[in-house]
Amino acid sequence: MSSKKKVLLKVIILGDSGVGKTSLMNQYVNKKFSASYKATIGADFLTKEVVMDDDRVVTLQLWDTAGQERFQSLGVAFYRGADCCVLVYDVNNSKSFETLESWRDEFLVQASPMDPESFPFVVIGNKVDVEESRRMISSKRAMTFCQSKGGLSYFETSAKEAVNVEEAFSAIAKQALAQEEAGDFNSDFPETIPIDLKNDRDGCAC
Amino acid sequence: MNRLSKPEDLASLGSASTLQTEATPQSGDSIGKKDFATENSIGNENGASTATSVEEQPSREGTPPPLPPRPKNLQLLDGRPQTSGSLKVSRPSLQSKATTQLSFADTQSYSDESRDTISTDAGKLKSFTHLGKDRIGSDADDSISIKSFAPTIDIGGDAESLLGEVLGDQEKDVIKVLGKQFDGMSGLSISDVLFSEDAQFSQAFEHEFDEIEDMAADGSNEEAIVTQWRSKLKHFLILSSAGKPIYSRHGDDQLITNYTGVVQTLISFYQGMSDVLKSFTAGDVRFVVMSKGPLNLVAITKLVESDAQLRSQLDALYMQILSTLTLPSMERMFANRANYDLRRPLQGTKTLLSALADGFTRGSPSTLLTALECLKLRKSHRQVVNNTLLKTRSENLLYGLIVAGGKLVSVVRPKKHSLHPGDLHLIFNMLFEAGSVKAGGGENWIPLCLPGFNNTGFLYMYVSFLNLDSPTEQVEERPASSHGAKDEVAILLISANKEGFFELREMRDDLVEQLQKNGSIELIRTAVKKGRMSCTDIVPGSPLRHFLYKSRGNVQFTMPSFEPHFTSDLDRRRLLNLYHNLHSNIHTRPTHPKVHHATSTTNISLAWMTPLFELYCVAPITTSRTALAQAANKIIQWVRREEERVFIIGGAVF
Repeated sequence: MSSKKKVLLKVIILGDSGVGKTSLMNQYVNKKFSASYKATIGADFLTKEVVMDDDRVVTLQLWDTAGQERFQSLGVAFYRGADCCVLVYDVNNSKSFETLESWRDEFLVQASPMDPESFPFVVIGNKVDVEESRRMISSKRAMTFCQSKGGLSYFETSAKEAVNVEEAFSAIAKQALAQEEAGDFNSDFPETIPIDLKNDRDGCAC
Repeated sequence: MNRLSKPEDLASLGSASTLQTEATPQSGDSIGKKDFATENSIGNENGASTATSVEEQPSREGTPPPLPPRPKNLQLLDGRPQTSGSLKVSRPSLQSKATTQLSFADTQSYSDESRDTISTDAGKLKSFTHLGKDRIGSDADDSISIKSFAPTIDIGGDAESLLGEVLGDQEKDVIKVLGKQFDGMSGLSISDVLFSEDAQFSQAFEHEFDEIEDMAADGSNEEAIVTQWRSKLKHFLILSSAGKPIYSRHGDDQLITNYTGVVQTLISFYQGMSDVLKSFTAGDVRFVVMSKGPLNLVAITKLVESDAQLRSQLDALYMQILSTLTLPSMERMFANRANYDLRRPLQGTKTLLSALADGFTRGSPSTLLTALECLKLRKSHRQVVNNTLLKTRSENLLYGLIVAGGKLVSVVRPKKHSLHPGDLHLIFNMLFEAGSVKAGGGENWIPLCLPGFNNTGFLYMYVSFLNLDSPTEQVEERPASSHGAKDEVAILLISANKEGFFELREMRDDLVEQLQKNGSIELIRTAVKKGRMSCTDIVPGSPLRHFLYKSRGNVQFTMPSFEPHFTSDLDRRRLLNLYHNLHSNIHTRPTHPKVHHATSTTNISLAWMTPLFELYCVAPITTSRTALAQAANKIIQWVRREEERVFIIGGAVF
């Protein structure tokens, strides 16, 4: 580990199974896309270093989760201490859009962030490369949803054609960093132990 | 490895029989008894304390009958007469209570029972969880994991490759004869070789402390880096309960972030089921997990170490973190922010953590035994130093210590406060291993928390190093050492008073002047120069190559010099492997053997535990068991004679 510590940001990626969470991560981290679908079992981890606008380097720890219901038991473990949560849906699958709200609620319950109102979520509508006629969720509808939830950032991407992926994740990194730094406090220097050598009550009595 | 031991010891072998298939219980049985008798009479001959003789009495009255031959498949044993309830009754109380009288007969029935219990999975689980619950709150050394006495790789794995293959007694004799022939032929005595060669281990160990390359920007060397990382024998990972990395001995963020995520997922998966993940094995690698509030600490090892031993290492790392932050302050940091990055407040302490970690990887008798080593000094000489400390003690002094190269010379302390070995280990690590203090030069004033003493706040430590080389001059602090850190003498004055610097500096000046005047500096200098004695200095003609003696009451240990037989780091690590093995065998639960005996193709070793002491020793294979037992006894006699020289009994108390 280098002596200069980079900020480490924990990012959780949630959404129904098959919406392309793993593909998005793979496109972002490895610049690769595979057309074959392989369901994530439990969780996957990827790490990516990002140079921010102010030249600071941060490390993104990406927690890719399985969308299937049976993995929801991972719960708290997963969500605890996240700096940003990414909600992904498939623009060609209305059910995956409708469940976004419950994904968000689930996250807030499990992770119980200090200030749920301001916790950063980023919504991603994936698979915009598919022909327009099959599209189920319009940009407008998605944006309305984001507005109603307190102005969440919204991106439309194609993991397959690498459209907007970079932009989405850079916004994610920015919001995560802001969250990580929010509430950062200068902790008080711990107290000295009051020790009265004449009448000892503190410390161990062994 | 052919373990020849007392019957109760064999029971412990029995419980691990799935792994130690090479053990030969039958042959071990008869020899073991003979051996036990020897040990026993030796113990009595020497007028061991009442506790010892009482403890061993039953076996003097009659050697217990040999164990019936055990069926190979334990599952065939039907009927588990005793349940965990009775286990509880016969279970000896905590090891730390020196008064525990574990009668021989007791142990026997006890281990029989445990063997039965282990015969089914359900039974195993039941009895273990029971023990686990029962032990909550016991000290670190006693902490157990569910797995720690289940058959695991602890004793297997590397132990075998290091200590050579199994040999019966007959074969051993053949080796001895061969050895003598070799003597004549090559001039190199077989007894010079205490450990058989293991090229793979040697090579891995040689590169253990090499830094891992930095990841190239384009990630082109990733594969090489991962290979380097995986080839390490030992890893320590500390992460937050959010899975964010806090410390790793090897590898940078890029490399370990995924692993910390995976580890955290595993840990939380069990937490989610209201269970606790304590340890697991993957291939030849052992993982031990310790969760402490918002922190998770993980030790990953391919070395010969038991879960309990790894746990005490993790404990030391945890204490180091608390020493920097204090517990309440660390808890506050995480209280409302599970995503908190603890590396920020810990900045600059990585060298301390790594010095501790590397100490464990090299092998640390002090940590293995959770005990301290003292500088050997005549009682009257130490008395003078103690009195000088008392005489010059300033008003706000809490602890005053004189330390020579990690060995304690003298202590002054308040009546009601003793020193926690773990705290001293942290201080010694900081001063003598990490070298972080000397860099500052002259005098130092260091705020630190001593978690064993009180984990809620800071104490302040005044540190100055002495120049022993020019005792005629006014003693000065010196920033750089002319010889190794092992020879350096430091004066440590600890106070709870934040503003106490000048007061303690004055005390130091006073103290050093007085020590100079009454000749103590010169005596300390001589003792430091002399170093540890060799085995043959201690007992002329002793076949022993090395030993560890721990005085349980004093929480101190003594040992001979590593030279001339264990000069390289590798030799020492192999020796420590052997000690770790002996230590874990004699701390096996629930059998708690008192004597454990092991032979390999190249060495013969013994572990011996009484309420008063623990002794571990090793000799070349050409040594007979009787000779080894006698040599062990001579060590005990020597320690008894020198007790007030090798240990600090009480110290200066105010």
